[in-house]
Amino acid sequence: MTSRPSNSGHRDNSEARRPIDPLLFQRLEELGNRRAGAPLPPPSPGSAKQTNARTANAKNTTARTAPTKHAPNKPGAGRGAAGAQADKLNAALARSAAARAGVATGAKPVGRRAKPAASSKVAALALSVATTAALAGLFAHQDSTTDSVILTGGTALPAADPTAVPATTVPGAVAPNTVAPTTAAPVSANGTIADGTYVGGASQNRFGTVQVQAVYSGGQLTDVQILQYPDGDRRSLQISQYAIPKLITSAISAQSASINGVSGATYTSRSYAASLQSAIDAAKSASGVTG
Amino acid sequence: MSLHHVESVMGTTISIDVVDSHDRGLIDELVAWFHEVDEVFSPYKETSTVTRIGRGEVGPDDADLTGDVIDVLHRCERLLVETDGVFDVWSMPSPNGTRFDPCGYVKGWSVERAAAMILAHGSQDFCINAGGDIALGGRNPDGKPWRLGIRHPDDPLGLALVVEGEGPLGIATSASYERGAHIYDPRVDQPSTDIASATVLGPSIAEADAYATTLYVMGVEGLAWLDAIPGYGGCVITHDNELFTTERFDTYVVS
Repeated sequence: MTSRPSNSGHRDNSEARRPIDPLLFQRLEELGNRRAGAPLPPPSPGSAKQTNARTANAKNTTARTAPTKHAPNKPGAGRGAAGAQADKLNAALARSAAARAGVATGAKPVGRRAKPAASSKVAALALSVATTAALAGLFAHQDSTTDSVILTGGTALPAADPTAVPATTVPGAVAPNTVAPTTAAPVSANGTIADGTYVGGASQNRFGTVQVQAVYSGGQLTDVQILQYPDGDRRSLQISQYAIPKLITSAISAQSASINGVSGATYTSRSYAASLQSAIDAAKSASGVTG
Repeated sequence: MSLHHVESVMGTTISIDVVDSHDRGLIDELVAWFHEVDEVFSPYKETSTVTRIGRGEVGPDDADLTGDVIDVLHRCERLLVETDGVFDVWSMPSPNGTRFDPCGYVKGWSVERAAAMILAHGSQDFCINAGGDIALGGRNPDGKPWRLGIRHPDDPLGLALVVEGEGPLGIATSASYERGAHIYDPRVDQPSTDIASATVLGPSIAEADAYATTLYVMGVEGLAWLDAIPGYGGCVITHDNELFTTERFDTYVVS
């Protein structure tokens, strides 16, 4: 057999001989003071715990810290309806992006991600933007049944010229960390959005600056186009690329995959009995591979 | 000339394959190790060290603070910082009623230690799968890279994708499909349910296990966090069955 990498990556227990450090003393004391079942104090964003020791791509991570970014995504964490709507839109945009990328129904179930169009890149990236004001505004329109909705953070462009909008002349293009002025969007009497191109405010997220514009036709969102995208350096480009999802349309048959094992979430001993791993183990036993 | 054993322990089922050994004593040693871990670290056992620590019964001089326990405590402390407070064994609701539950680290850690025991035994081709937390050494019985399926979130008998790699390699998946919403986000004091599953692979299964839990809580954006850690890659599958991956993870995916 040819030479192969050593298995030195599996660590030994050398760390175990270290003396217990003061921080752990403190932990043990805290636990001693906190009797069984006693509630914890509510977590405070920005506490000492959240030492941002390894935040990815620190150069571009200026807009938010991880805790404050994620906390609003949790139910009951005081997040507004607009934020929830933005999330819904972001998810919907990501889905449509995947569809446009040709990996929707009928696509090969497994393989490398298809290379989607730029518009789908930005739509998928939108999923990773915690709250993009422009998208929140767009969604407000899309979901609206009244005509009183304001397009927050976006600038409506004339419906008569929906496509001829070079990025350099977009009125809504503004500096990072700010959004364009709130502008009332043209909403028709029946509550649908007037045809046209709507430019979102530039949004600074951890990957860089993102700005999109949405094209509406017949009251429907028909396209999302990229105006600014954080591909200035290789680092942020990598991150941007894995913000592009691939749709898993159907499960791969384990038989055809000829695998040695399965990684799933924690099997309880009961659920193991109904798992693929147990079938693999049974097959091994049946073929005489035993200890 | 190979070993295969399945053991129910630590509330899960552990499959052990050692390709290049026929020494039954190695299996006995590994099985004894996992039962020892269960005794010390199970939050379900009234007398376990973990339960005693959670109840504040263990002082700095307690005999239960063995090298292994201190090792786990130290690494959990480091992970708390490394994960921006997301992986916090000190605020997990534990089955024993306390808020100390290092299970999210102990399973992968115990598998990594078992892998080290196999190496010390002189074998190098192995696969240990503890309820989906997998440590790989060397190559599979065919002399090829190990081939592993990652479970499809909607289908217990189907795969979402297949990865391939030589050891040393650890792979772990966190998801809610089996045990419901049990992965805790300590920052909001609530279970996390935003995505369907998160898988992490890298050189250490102990770290990969903790990172998978962290990635599950962080969601898609956690991929940027994970990608900054040398040697580790991962994927997130959403409830809409969308797959997000890091580039490093892609290098392991079988297309």
